[in-house]
Amino acid sequence: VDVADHGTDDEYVAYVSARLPALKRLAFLLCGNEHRADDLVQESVTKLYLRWRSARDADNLDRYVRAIVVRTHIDETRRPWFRVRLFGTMPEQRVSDSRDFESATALRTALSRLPAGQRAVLVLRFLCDVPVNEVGAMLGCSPGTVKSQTSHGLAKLRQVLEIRDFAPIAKEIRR
Amino acid sequence: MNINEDNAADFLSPLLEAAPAPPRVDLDEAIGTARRRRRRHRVAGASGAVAAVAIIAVAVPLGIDAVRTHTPPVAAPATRTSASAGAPSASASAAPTSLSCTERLLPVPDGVTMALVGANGGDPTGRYLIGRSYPHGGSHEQPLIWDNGVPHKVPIKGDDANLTAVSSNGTAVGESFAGETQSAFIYRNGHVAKLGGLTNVGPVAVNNAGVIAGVQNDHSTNRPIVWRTPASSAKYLPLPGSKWRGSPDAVLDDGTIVGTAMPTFDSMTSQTIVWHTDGTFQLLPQPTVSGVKGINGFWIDDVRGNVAIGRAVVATKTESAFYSIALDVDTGVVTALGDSHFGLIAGNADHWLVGMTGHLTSPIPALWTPGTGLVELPTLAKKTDLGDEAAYISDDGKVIAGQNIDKNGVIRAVEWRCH
Repeated sequence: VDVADHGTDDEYVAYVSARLPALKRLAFLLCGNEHRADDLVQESVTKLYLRWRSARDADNLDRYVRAIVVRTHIDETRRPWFRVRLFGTMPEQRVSDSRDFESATALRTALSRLPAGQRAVLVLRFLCDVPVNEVGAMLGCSPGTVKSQTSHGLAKLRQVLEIRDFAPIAKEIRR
Repeated sequence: MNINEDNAADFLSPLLEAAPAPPRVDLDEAIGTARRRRRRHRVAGASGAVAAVAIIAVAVPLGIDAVRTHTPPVAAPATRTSASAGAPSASASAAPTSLSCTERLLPVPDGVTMALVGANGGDPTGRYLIGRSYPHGGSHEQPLIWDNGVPHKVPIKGDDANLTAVSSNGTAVGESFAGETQSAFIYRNGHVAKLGGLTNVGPVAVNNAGVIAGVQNDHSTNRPIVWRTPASSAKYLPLPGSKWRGSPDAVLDDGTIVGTAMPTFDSMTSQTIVWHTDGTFQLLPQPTVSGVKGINGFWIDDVRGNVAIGRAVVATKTESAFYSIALDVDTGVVTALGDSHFGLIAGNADHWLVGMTGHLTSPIPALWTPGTGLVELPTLAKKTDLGDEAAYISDDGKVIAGQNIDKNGVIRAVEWRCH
């Protein structure tokens, strides 16, 4: 773990290069912002390099790396500067009733109102199709906590969307 | 509106349709930052926290199956061989069916406690072990070579000094950094000499004759190099095409170099490559493992004699899986190895493997042999931490070494003996 092993740099670069689009996608889902997603991936792959010798032995390396992205995201949201940046760069967006309003943008805004942990649980479970047990392993919590976070997250999402009158999407779901 | 667990995936699915822009991530910068951070953390280690652990203490828990490789049902020979199809080696048939292991601390000069034996940190006989100590709690690493258990300091100047390989006659190679510039060194008969010819180079392997293989770390895309003698200039080793990348893993007794090559820097489809002493090279076909489809890579962890120990990779666009195998580079015979809960770090020609088992953030140093299966090695402290690992095993299986964090949280160089 400790000894620099430059013979494995090629493996690291090969692996990470192939996974960058997927990691960016996950980061984007988590933080809803292009630039922050790039920063998040950059920091995550830096951490991965430091742990590469151990990480590459993980049965599911992809899951391990996704976990680093999620944990890094949650850790960063705990820092004071994150809140400043979040509210500085993502002002309240009024959700329009207009049909051509991109529901993805609206959903992203709604998700951004959730605490980072709840957001991560929803993204991993419902957008990345990660089973409850694995989400728990990635976040370092029990399956029970994942379920309660899911419940709280969905409740909060409902609340945010109802306040914002999310009629267009709600109709699509009912179809 | 009622969003619930049943419809949440549909409800949130529009988010998947909005593809983000291509990633703007700089891997050179990531590697550079990581290396700087690693050195900084070592300097910060004076507070009592173990440097190597401090860096990785926030690692993600993954559950008990995290350190795990897949175990295919049976082994099969590679296509180009007619030799004994996947049969265990002769000595493996006489291998023990149970092992009992004891652990001891390796002595470290100057009363320093913080030390470790690195990955592949020994010669095949078990006489020499290589590693380093941290005399100042993390800064100014002191490379060490143990000769029959007696430690000697290797005076490599520079930051992050480190030994990377040692041959059975005690010839060792290492590296250090001055800023971001990496330099390579050889240690023989008590003297250190810098290896010349190219900059930003690191040695990877050395044989008894002093043939040294290494890599030039050029913008994170390694190029394989060789010093045919310690006094000669480094030369690039050939690759199949200009976009190909590769790195050596071992220098055999006759000067043949075994390594890994890949068609582009971002390819997962790495192949075993053999550089012959006449300047030619040969790409070996991907290993064939019975019951495993789609193997498109082989990552070498250790080479002993003609046996490369490593992991066959099945990489798709969404997942990658690893299978521990031994590949005889002469015959192409592939033997499936390991246990589904074993993380491979090094091995020997008899297919004994060392590494770790258990939880990825609290791994247990472990040995795996064809006769015994997984054997957990004793540890200094009840609670293990990332960094606890067996990282070297001698050809006779009698010497196993690595690093183990003691009850005070200090990383220690340790040796295990099994019988």
